[in-house]
Amino acid sequence: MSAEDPIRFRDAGSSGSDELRALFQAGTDDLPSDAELAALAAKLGPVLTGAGGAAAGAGMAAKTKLGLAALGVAGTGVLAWALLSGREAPAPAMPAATAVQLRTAPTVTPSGANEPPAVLAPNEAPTPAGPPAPSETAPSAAPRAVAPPFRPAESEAEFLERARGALGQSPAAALSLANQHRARFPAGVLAEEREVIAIEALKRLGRTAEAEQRVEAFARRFPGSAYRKKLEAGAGR
Amino acid sequence: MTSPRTHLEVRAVFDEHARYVWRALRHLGIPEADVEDLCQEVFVVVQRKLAEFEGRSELRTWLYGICLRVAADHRRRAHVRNERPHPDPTEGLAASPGMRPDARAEARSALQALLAELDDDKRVVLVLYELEGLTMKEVAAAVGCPLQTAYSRLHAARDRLTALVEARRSNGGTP
Repeated sequence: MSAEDPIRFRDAGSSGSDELRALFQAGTDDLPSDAELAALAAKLGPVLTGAGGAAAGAGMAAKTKLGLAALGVAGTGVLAWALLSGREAPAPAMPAATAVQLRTAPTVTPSGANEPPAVLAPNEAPTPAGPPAPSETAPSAAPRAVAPPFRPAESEAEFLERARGALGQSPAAALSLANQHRARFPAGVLAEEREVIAIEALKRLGRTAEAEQRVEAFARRFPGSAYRKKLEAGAGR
Repeated sequence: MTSPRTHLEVRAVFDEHARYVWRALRHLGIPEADVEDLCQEVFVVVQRKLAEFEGRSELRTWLYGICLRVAADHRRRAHVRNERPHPDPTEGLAASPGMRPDARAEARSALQALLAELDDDKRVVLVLYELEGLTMKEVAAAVGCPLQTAYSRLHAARDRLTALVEARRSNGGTP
């Protein structure tokens, strides 16, 4: 700030009145919620990953204005927020079968070049699509994991919404789905949301140490993530 | 097709700046219902242009420049549709520091109404300086005007806001 720049209204010592100071302080705090940002990231999917190049981005805003992405993708936008806030995410606006036809997020990109190395807990191996690895199944005392049926046309957002939905009945199934996400959607844009689900599933399974390790890995990989502080707070850090 | 490195950078730009893009668009007069759509438009442009960004300015200055153009386009479209709202510019001015959450929301609404009273060229400068925290040199770069012009617009905007608040007080408002 140069010597000629006046003291901002929101700061002490400015030439503005107390009313102006209060208004500009409130305006400075007027930031979007985590849920709003997550929904935006979900809708921007191909733009953030580069899938489909500029052409994908060119049609993105128009598509979402028609509400297409909002049906299938916005639900996932709030899912991580719902986990972090301890509230249930709202029900999807439409049945999944309908939303599938309207999705905007890409499904599988063979190369997977855009996905950085996976974030894995120490006892987890990369999991291809298919049955969960033994380490991901529930302990004997926990509810048995029942993998929902495979849906070939399922979008990334719908897949993770299914994982989130499984948390209540079967955290092991939710963890399995979260760990399958990486292989199913190697160019996916919702890696942060996947990790939030996986961490919550580990906590519900009583695998606290693994959850904490995954939180640490999350913080290293996504240092600027909107979810980071809440995850760390939840892990008691 | 852009490179994988560019893809990662778009995500990094989003993570670091999306919330401020969102806030800036709100204060640039974009209706709440349209802010998310315009944020998308901004990042679509970022994806297309990031590889061309040469670092001759700060990234955030470049980004706010995109915001200004997207917001201006939106206002032009809204003007064609005759959708400009006319809120009471002095409503809610009684809010003060330490206020309750609903009072804070009222203060934000009151600020929006006050900003709506400014000409667009002055409003843009005021928002970038007062709310987004850019230096005046950065503001001038983002707006694309001489530095002294930016100062003139800022002072005019501040004077106008001060006058509006004073008018409220003179008319028996509750400061």
